[in-house]
Amino acid sequence: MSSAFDKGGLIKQPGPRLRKFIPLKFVTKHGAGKKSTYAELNLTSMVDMLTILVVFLLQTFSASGELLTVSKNITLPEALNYKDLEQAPIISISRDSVTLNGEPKADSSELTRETTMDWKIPQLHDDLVVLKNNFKLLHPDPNDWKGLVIIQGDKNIDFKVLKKVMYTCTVAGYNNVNFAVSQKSKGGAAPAGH
Amino acid sequence: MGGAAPTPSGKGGKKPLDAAINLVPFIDLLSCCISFLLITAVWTQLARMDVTQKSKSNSAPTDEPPQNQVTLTLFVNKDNTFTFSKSTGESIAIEAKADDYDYVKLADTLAQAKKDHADKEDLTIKTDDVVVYQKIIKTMDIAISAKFPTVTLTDKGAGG
Repeated sequence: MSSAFDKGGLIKQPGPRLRKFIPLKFVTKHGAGKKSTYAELNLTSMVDMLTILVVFLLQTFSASGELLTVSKNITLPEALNYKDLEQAPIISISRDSVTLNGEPKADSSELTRETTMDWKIPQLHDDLVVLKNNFKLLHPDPNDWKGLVIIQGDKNIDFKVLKKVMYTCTVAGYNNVNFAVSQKSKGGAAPAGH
Repeated sequence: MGGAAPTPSGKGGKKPLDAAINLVPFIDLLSCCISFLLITAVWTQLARMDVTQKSKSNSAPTDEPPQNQVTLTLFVNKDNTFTFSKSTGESIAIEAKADDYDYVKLADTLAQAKKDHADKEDLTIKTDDVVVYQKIIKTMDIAISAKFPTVTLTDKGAGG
């Protein structure tokens, strides 16, 4: 077989391996049935693995970070059509309580039992108004105010509680109500809000 | 270490074409990237759904749509049935399926409604007080999938 080596082409005969040049006895000696303690590290597969890891982690990377932490006693419903989260006051509704940014504001079971026509939750309303006023003090431009609030509700709560919270938000000036959901995978399709 | 060591060409003065890649800084960079990405990774995939509310406070008569425009309303009833109605008087009842709402039929009904009213983007969902939140979200999700992105959520008492 006429090889490229004879013709002095670009393909060269492989040179000596690194192991041969290490001047350590235990590396160079392979005598008398003694097992070599030297283990070669296959760098090619290691670099491959690291590259795949980086690509996977970059794909799952979220620039918005963790804006929302789900409470222990809340299981979010799943949805296929969603938008990215934004910074906003978070109202959590579990089967026990209604909280605003982690502070309890009302009792869910009491809200379910109530039959009054007044849907406003006074404590929640007052605190939302305080938050709104604080925001307006810090951002005097009226265009900055989007009235966004995120409701993080347990999937088993009744609509009765939800409508009272939504009504309170609207009365307090938060007209842009959003529901927090878990993203349901849909086979690689882009979300609706993108 | 680690680089593909270029073999001496042996032919006086000719530069070898092989280039040695130093893998050590490359592996360092990859390791730093992996550490950073693992630390900043968010594994819970949370998002939000937009909803418009038609409550007692903003259901003034001035908010009524013009007479020539069709209004689409979907009633979510507590007995696991849907009722899809148009302001023209047409109404479609979607019966329960195995003790749950028939979401497949709902999707078909909404798709047909979208065909009939291609320019309509809004849909009003009216639910009973005892309907569970998860079912409302699923209904809203189907409505958005059927190209009704502006979903208004209200109870049955408000304006109808």
